[in-house]
Amino acid sequence: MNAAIVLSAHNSEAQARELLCAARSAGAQNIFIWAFHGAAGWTMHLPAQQVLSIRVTQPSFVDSLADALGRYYLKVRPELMLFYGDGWGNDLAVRFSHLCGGSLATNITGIRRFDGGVRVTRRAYGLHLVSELTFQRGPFLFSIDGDSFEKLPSAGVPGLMVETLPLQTPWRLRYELHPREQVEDLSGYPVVLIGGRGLGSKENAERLMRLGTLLGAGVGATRPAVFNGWFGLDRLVGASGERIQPKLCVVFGASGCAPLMLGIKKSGRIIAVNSDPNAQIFDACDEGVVGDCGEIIGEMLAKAERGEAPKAFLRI
Amino acid sequence: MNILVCFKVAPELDSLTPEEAKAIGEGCGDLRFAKLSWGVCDEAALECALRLRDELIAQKTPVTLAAATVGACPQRFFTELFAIGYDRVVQIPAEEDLSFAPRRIAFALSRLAQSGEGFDLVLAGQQSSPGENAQVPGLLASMLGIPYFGRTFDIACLKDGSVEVSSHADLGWTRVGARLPALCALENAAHPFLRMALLKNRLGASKKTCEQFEFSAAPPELKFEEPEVRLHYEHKRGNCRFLEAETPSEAAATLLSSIAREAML
Repeated sequence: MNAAIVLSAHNSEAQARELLCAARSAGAQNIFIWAFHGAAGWTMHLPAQQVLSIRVTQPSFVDSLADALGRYYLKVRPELMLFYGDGWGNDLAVRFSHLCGGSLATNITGIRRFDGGVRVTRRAYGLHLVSELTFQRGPFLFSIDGDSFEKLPSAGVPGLMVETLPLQTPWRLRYELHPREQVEDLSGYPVVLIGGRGLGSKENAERLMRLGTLLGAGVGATRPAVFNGWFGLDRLVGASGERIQPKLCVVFGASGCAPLMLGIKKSGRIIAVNSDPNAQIFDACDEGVVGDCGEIIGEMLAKAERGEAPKAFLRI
Repeated sequence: MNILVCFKVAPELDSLTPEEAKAIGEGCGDLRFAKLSWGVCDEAALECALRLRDELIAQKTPVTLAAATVGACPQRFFTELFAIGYDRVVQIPAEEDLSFAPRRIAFALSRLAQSGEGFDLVLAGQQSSPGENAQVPGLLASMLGIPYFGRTFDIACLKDGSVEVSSHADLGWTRVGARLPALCALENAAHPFLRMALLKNRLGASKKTCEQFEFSAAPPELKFEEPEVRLHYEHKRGNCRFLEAETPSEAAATLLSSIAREAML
């Protein structure tokens, strides 16, 4: 089976290796990598048949990229096309599936081939359940969920082709790209404190932020806490935010709904603090404390300010 | 300007217990009695359209707002939409559960969007439960043949009839000026919550009914393969050990020592 992996400039080598693992899981023998916005140097060490480095001449929108993708699709006619499940990859997979009439699933967490089709798994029902989708008619277009596949380690020396692609977007009048500024990157902290709706107020959220600074811990937030205006969007942890894997994650005042758990489930240890002893989060954490989050954070902050708490940790 | 917002009313799944989720996975669960609410991203799309209407009225540009949903939806949601200012509310009937049939939903909405005078701007939420397919907006834009902006968080209407769309991007955010028609899918929007209707507006809207939109079945070339779907519940880790603490001060000390231990390892 031929497979094509579609990459953007912001996809990393680790993500590409996850895609390669997914392709191999589906039984792909010949794998072609189509790297839009040019191929990075590391693509030349991937176990693939060929790398096509596609230089686009202007800001690329999924509409025009999907049209352009058709040109490469017709050359190889891959039965399987894989995208990374970020915004760009999902949007492109959806648009191209309509053009090529392929079967489509986004953010898959598993894939296997069987006689007559492909079976994939993905999360559904507020991430509470796993859905298993069986497709019989190719081409099969899937975007993969981050951190769901191994990173294929083996090395290779693929062939390289370079093309320049003029894109047409007649509807576009202006374009501005604002790179992310001062994004709170939680991935480097050994300990991350998460604030949920149960913090109860912006004051408690600010105290949690101060506590994080004193302890040298990262501070993240659940979706309700962010949309209450207590934390910036760059601190959102969960299905639509950052997925973290610190050594220790302490969660204050969160119910433990599935989207949050998806974001923290790879933590080494999870401690939950909640006033409700029956809160769902206690089913999914390692240790629990039943109590008022505001009061406990206040006490922790007071101790930290008095120097009774461990001093700042070094970031990994 | 004619604006169409595609929305869905879905069961609130955040409070689903593991036992309930397991029962649904085994095919014996029942969500009919679950609390219903606007799809999280759809709610932002509905509010965004109202804000655009306010902007357009200030610019003295005529505007009509329509909202459409596919499948079952209680009347109180339609009443709420009329009460907060929607001119038209359309329901496209569906006899079966389309949670895992995004193409059929997109096709039905495309038929509506192409009917009558058509629409200049189509808004939708990026994705909704329980299917979490994240496909309907992109497919709908493809079927309508119009530009698509995913992960939009804000939209401004300019006096020249174009729009300025701000969207989350993988490395930051973008602002794009675009001619209409276009479709924007909202996610993590600047205004994520839908405004509340005044009681007098609710009373005034209580007798309004939504339109029913019927359309002919998909032509043969648009008959899509729909996957066979099976659901199952994945056991999550349990065995939480409760830490002993009588007072907040004791709890704070216990947590700080846990953090210290972790930092030293």
